[in-house]
Formats: sequence, structure tokens, C-alpha cells
Amino acid sequence: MNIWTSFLETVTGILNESGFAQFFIGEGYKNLIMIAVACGLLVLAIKFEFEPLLLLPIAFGMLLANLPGAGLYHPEFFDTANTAFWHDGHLLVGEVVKQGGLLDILYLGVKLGIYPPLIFLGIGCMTDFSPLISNPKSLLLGAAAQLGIFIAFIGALLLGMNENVAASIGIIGGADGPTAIFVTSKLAPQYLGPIAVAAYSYMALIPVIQPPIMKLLTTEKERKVRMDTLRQVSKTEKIIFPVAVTIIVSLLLPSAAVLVGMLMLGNLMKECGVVDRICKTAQNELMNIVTIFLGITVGATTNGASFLNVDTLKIVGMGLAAFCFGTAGGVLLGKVMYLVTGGKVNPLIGSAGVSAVPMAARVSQKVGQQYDPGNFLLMHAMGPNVAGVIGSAVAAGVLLNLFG
Amino acid sequence: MNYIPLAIDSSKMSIGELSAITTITGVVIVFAMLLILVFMICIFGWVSKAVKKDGSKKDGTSAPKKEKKAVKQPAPKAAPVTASATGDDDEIIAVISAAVAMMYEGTGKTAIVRSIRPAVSGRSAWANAGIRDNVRAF
Repeated sequence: MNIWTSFLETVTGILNESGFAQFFIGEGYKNLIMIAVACGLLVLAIKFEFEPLLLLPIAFGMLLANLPGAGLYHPEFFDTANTAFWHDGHLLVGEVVKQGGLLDILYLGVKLGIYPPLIFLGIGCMTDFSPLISNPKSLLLGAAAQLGIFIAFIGALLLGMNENVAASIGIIGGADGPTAIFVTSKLAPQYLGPIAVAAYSYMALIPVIQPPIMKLLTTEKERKVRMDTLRQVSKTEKIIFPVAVTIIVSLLLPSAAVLVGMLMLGNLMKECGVVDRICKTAQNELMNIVTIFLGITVGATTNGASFLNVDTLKIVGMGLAAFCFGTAGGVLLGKVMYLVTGGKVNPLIGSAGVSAVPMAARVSQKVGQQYDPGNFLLMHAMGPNVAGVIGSAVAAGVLLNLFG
Repeated sequence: MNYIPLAIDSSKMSIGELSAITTITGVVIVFAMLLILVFMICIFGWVSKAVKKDGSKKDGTSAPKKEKKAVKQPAPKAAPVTASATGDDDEIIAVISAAVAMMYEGTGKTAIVRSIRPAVSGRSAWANAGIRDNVRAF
């Protein structure tokens, strides 16, 4: 009898300490919901191929972080009120390394702002700025599409968020994942998970979000405009461009230097043609490694307690508003350019100013071809598209300067 | 650091003031920054045009000769033979012609494609595959 009782007690003890039991204690049910959300995101990434390179590691990081008792990630380490890990507003990295799990250590790359600039380096290696250099006016479309950032900022303030959180929500409108993560990790790290998930989800949904706005704001005549062929850009111009942009932007807005600087370093490596080996490494191996680390750690920040609340709904709502107003801003300036140039600019390329390279440019091309199958807007839209990357980095610099 | 920080004291501001200041500052700075870049790129364009013009002026005597020489050369008549010999069809010729036409669009010049021959690069199929892999944009 004694043996039977001890056996039952042992089994009950094991079951009570298991992760399954934790789901039914306190707010444990939220972890269960988050595991279901993670599985949903995995389906989106694998079956529907929605930004799979990022969504898959994010979803799996979410899954790992919500397994009760696994202890892979400890959000309390990164809480500034925790004096065991923070001293005079600085994170005690040594303590995190000593006591943390794998994801805590990998998360340091997000917390210290290392991964997003490295992603920008890889993006720079893959970006061709020729359409922008041959049509400099497209930079203005990239600026206009940042309107969504500031509209969402106002919306978030009105919904009761503080200015740091509002700025982080607004930057979703830049349609640039690394920039959103960079700004949020500095201004509102507690919202990193929902903001990153919202940013990447909306980027994947750009082909659904943008076309109705583009069609609503343009006439059929405007959508059928065929633009002049772009001039050829010399190699010298392509080499001077990244150097000059880095100097000008960094001197005028030092807080944007790290993002713009790494983007332009990558581009210089691509265009100069003498460092092919490291350029290839930056755009393939380095980019892939950082993407894995970034995705899994961002996913890990989405634990049930911090993700399943009303604030996440506000972030999702304002993020969508940011994308919509950003698209509208670009298209409206495109219309102004159409009028000023006497019908030489197709306003549809304005929507590509929200960055999200090259998805947004493809949307401009696709919508344009619905009305004139022989119209090729892709290269024209690539100008505002890459301008949007610079524009969102500059907008991030402004927000960091204002609230950092 | 000697730059002037923009940081604002939001605790003393209403939501309206904070929204207005942030939006105006942000939009103005983003546009100003990108306008500066527009001017910078325009200057690139002008300088590179001027350099090209200067170059063509210097070669002013030799350039027309070269053109004449090019015109004098009889157009290769092997075009149809080459195309069919390689197993290519009319579609490839149409695509190449369309690409050439696109390049000249808006310049006021007309191009005539007289011959299409396979490029002899001297590279192996593996080397060509490597180059293609490296020059792919995305």
C-alpha cells in the first residue's frame, strides 16, 4: 500500500510540476494561447509563405518562450527596475551571460542594437540604387510615404500610449522590420514582440493592403501613365552615392548614422566591385545568421503575459493605420508630381515609398499592369522603394533624437 | 558630441502640442534630408554629363570617323542563319529587339538590329553559372 501511495504521490508531483499543469495555474492559460498563435504563424510562414525567412524563426521563438518551465528566456533580466541586472540605467551584460539561457544571450544582440544594423549591411549589399540615382525626384516619394509614421504616432498618443511607445508604434509605418526593431528596442523594449510581429505581418500583407488605397486615390488615366526610360547610371556615381549619403545624413542626423551607415557600407561593398567575397558573405551567410538570431529572440519576447492585452490590439490597429497612411502619402505626392510634370509621373509608384523592398515596388508594377499590360513600372517604383529605406532610417533617427 | 539634441520635454506638453511638434519636426527633417540628397544626386548627374560632354569634345575629330567606319562596315548577313543554327527561335529575337527598343525609348534615336550572335565568352558553363549567381539583384 505504501509503495502504491508513494508511486501516486511521485506521479502527481511530476504532473504538478510539468508544463501542462502550469497552463492551468494563474495566467498560464495565456501561454497556451500564445502557443496556438505561434502554430498559426508557423502555418502562415510554411503554407502561405508570408515572409517565411523571418516569420518562421519568430513563430518558433514565440513557441519556445511560452513553454512553461523551459526557462529559455527571462524577460525579468531586461526590466530596468531589476537592480540585479541593471546599474545606473545600464544593463549588466556579464550577469545576463552568467545566469541567462540561450535566448537571453542571443537577445543581447537586439537589446544592444547590434542585429538591425547588421541586417541593414546585408540589405545594402543587395540593393541597387541606380533607379534612385537616375530619377532623384523619387526620393521625395520615399519621404512622403513616411507620413504614416507620424499619423500612427498621433493615433497612439490619442489611445493613451506614452510618447516612447507611440513613436515605436509609429515606426511600423516605415515598413522596415530592422528599423522598427531598432527603434523599439531603444524606446519601448517591453513592446518589442507585438511591434515586430505587427510590422512583419503587415509587410507580408502589403499586396492586400496597398492596392485598394492606390485605386481609391488615383484615376484610371493616371494609372495608365507610361514613364520615360531611366538614364544609365555610371559606376562612379554608384560609388560616390553611398559615401556621400553617409556623410550628409550622419552629419545632419547622427542618430540615423548607424542604420544609414551600415546600409551604405553594404552598398559600397556591392558597387565598388573589389570586395566581392565579403559582399557575398554579408548578403548571404551573415544576413542569414543574423536573421535567425533576430527572429528567434524577437519571437521570444512575446510571452503570454505581455502579448495578450489591449495594448497589443492598439498596436495592431495603429500599425495598420500607419501602413495605410504611408501608402496614401506616397500616392498623393505622386499625384502632385503627375500634375507638376504634366502627366509624366505615374502616381502608382508613390506607394512603393513605404520601403518593404522589393514587395511594394512589385505591387506598383502589378496594379499598373492591371490597367495597361504593356506598362512596366517596376524599375520606376524601385526608386521610391529604396528611397523609403533611407527615409524610414531618417525618420527613426528623428524619433530617437526626440524621445531617446 | 557637439550636435544639438532635439530631445523635447513632453511632460509639460498636451497631446496636441506633442503631436504637432513631433509631426512637423519629423516631416520637415525627413523632407529636408531627402531634398538635400536630391540636390546632391542632381549635381552628380550634371557633373557626369559635363565630363561626358568634355570627353566627346576632346574626341570631336575622331568620333565621327568612328561612326562612319561603323556605318561603312557591311551588316552581317548571317543573322537568320546564326539564330536558327543555335536552335533559337523568333521569340528570342523579338525579346532582344524589344530590349534594344526600350533602351532607345525617349532618346529620339532608332536602332536596327541586324545580327544576333551568341557571345563567345570563353567561360565554362560553371563560370557562367557563378557569374549569374553573383549578379542576381535579389
